[in-house]
Amino acid sequence: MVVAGNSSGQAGRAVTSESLTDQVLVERAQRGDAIAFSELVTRHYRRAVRVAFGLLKNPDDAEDVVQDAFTRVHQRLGDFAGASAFYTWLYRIVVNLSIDALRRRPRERRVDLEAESAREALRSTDELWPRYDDTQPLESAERRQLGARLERALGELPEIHQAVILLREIEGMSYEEIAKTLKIKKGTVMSRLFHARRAMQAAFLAQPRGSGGSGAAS
Amino acid sequence: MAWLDGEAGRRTAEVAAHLERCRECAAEVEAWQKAGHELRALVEAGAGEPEPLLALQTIRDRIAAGESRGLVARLAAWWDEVWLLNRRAVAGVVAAAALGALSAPGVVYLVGRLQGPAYTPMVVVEDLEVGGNATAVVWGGGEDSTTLIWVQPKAGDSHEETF
Repeated sequence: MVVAGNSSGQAGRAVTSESLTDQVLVERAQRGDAIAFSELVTRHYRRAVRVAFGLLKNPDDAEDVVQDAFTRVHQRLGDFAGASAFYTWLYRIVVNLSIDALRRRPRERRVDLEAESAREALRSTDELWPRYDDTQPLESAERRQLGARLERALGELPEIHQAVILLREIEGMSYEEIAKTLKIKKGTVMSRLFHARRAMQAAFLAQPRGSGGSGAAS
Repeated sequence: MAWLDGEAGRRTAEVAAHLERCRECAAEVEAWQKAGHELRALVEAGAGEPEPLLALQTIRDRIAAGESRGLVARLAAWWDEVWLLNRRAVAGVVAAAALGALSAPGVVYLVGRLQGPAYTPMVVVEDLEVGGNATAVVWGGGEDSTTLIWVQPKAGDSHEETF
C-alpha cells in the first residue's frame, strides 16, 4: 500500500506503508492521513480480532468490538503520545471493550480456586492436562472434544484472567507488554497469569469427563 | 511458570538443568506447552481470517457517524473514552470521592467538638441606608430589640438608639 507518493512525479520516491513503523503511521494519521490510518487497521486487525474472539468466543462479536476499537482509536489519535507501542494501546481498548461486552451477557459460572470443588479437582488427579496426539488434525473427534473442554475452562475464568492468558498464549506477549497493555504492574501480570493458569486447570479437570471431551483425558 | 514464558531471566539455565533431571516438572511444562498450543489453534480456527479491508468501510462509517453527533452524544462518548482507557484512575477518583463523602460528617463533627459550639450571630443587619454623608444601619437584636446606628463621618458624629 502506498502511503505517500510524490507530487513532483519523480519515479521511485513513493513510500510503501509496509516499510513504515507504527509510530510513523500514527503521526501521519494524527495529521489527517487517512491512508496511514487504513494501514494501521490492515496491519493490526486480524490479531486484534483474535484477542477479542478469545474473550467473546463469537467471531461476529469479536469483529464488531475491534471495529468499535479502531473507531475510538481514530477519535483519540491526538491523545496518543507514543509513550507505549501502538498495539498495546489498541489491545487495551479491545480488551476493555470485550470485557464490557462480556459483562452485558448473562452471568456465567466463574471458577473459584478457593472453592472446595476446584481444589478437590486438582487434588484428585495426577493429570495436569490431558494427553493427546497433537499430530491429529484439529477436526478429529479427540481434539474437538479437548478444544470444547479447554474453551469452557477458559470461559469460566474472570474476564481479566482470560485476558492475561490470551495475551500471553495467543499473542505471545512478554510480561512487560501485557503490563503496558492492561496498565498494571509486571508483578501483577505474573501473579494473575499464575492464578489464571491454575484456575483454568482446575476448571478443566472439574468438568465431567463426558462433557465435550473425555477421550483425550485418559 | 516464568521459564515456560521465556521470562526466567538469569535463572533460565538453572531451570533448564532442573527440568532435565526432574521428570515431574518436565511433564508439567510439557503439559502447559501443549495446552497453550491447543488454545492458540482453537482461537485461530474460531476467529478465522477476518478481512481488514472489508472492516475498513464499517470503521469509516462509524467514524463519520461519530463526527456528526450532537453535543450530548459527544459528551457521553467522551466519558466512555475516559472510562475505557483509564479505568483504574477513574475508579480511584470515584473511590476517593466516595470516601470523602462518607467521612465528611465525621470530620465536621470532630472539628466542631474541638472548636466548641458553633457561633450563633447575635444580631442581623436588617437595613442599610446611605443618604448624603450619613449612613444608617439597622440591626435586629437577639431579643426583639432593634438598634439604629446613624453615622455622619464628616461631622464626626454618630448616634445610637435602641427601640
